Amino acid sequence: MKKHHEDHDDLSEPLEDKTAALTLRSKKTGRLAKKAEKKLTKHLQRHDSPVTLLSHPPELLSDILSYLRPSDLFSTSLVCRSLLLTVFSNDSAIAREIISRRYAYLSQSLPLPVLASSLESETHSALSNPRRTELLQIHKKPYTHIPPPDPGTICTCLTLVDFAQWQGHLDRGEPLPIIPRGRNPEWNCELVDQTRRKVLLALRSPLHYARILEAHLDSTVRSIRRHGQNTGNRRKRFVMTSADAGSGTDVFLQGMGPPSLEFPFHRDEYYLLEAYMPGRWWRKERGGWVYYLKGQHERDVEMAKSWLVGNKN
Amino acid sequence: MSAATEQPKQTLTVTTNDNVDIVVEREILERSVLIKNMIGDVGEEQIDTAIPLPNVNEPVMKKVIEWCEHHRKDPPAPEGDDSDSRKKSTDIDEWDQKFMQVDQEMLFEIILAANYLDIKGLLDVGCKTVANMIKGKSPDEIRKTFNIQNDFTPEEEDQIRRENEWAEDR
Repeated sequence: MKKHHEDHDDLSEPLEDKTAALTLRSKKTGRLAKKAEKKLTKHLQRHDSPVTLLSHPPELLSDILSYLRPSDLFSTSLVCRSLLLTVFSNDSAIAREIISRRYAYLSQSLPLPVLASSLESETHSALSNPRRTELLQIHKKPYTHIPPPDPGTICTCLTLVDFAQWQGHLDRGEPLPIIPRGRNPEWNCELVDQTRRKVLLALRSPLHYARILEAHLDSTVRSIRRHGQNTGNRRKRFVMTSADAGSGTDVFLQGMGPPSLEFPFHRDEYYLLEAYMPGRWWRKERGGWVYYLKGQHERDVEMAKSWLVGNKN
Repeated sequence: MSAATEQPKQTLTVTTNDNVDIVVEREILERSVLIKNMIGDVGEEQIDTAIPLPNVNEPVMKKVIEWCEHHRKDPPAPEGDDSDSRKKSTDIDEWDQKFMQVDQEMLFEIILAANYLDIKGLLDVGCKTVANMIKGKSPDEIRKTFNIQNDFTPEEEDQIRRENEWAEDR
């Protein structure tokens, strides 16, 4: 019995491995060892260096940037080459995200004019036909506060940019300068030229268009706030909470409010202008707005073409 | 009575890239589309095998799990143009704001992990947090915040500024 126990103890002793490791010598093992070492060094380096904003892959960086306000995006593009490249090589996608997130309603109300160079030659010649442009009021009697659309550059859509330039005056209750009839002072020429440059930039870069919408939302928020503080003014207006005002989005403009039926043809109109949202009607039965400027450019083109054909015959 | 009839919650194990096994409730872990799809691919019979996560370390995974646990009952992200979701899309709720009060490296690691694990809600919160850190800052302030070197020459910087003259102004 005792012997049995001894035998059992012998068997349970751990086996000692006395075989020596084989030395592997071949070109293939050498290559594999080098590759593994390189991989390990790279892995260690990656984990040693801290993750920074710039170490994100471009698509993730674009996702982050698409949460910014356009003005912040422009500041970000001035930080370094890498961010400049990320912003402007993905500008269409980033602008699309920003607009759908922040300015979905304003962009339907104030669509971007179409660049003439992007039109087919037949369409361009129909729209810029001198006989047609002569018939259009906007080319006959240009306004003092906005540049007349150049038929050689853009189509006949108009965009309001000038309103944003006067928000400081309106907030402070300072009167807007009056331009005597028939005069065009130098400061106004410069301002109108600035508006023209902004719209031209917006036509070429979707980020600049988003920036115009940001400026217009800011004007709208300031106007509604101004008029809300005026207790004597009991007109209907959009419901805007302080959270809405600070949200940086146009969501509150989807609610019921006064329609923008008239184009502010003169700066004097700015005093009473609150939310300038042209191109939409409130439909009572649907309890919401219907945007009718969608497809307006195409309708314009069709009309111009048929008008031209009719005049030739 | 309800406690007696309640089914035990199914758990899964994940192995992080620093070789740590973490046991998590399946429902929590399935906030990750990547993991949910992995489970679908390997089948229920293989579910006891630990899931390797070669791109996430233990501290980051624990933060991710904390977020998923808090948001376990959240409805899936809505599709299409929903105005309420748009409004929320620029806000961060209070709990998430506190959750994201971590050092910058951890914040970026969480974003990378959320992207890798395909957790849209967490990725959105991370991106919004970084966007809020940029909000209202000048290029120089952004450089300081994120420790980024200005590699433009003064002439280049001047030219870019002129090209976007009005767009940067507030």
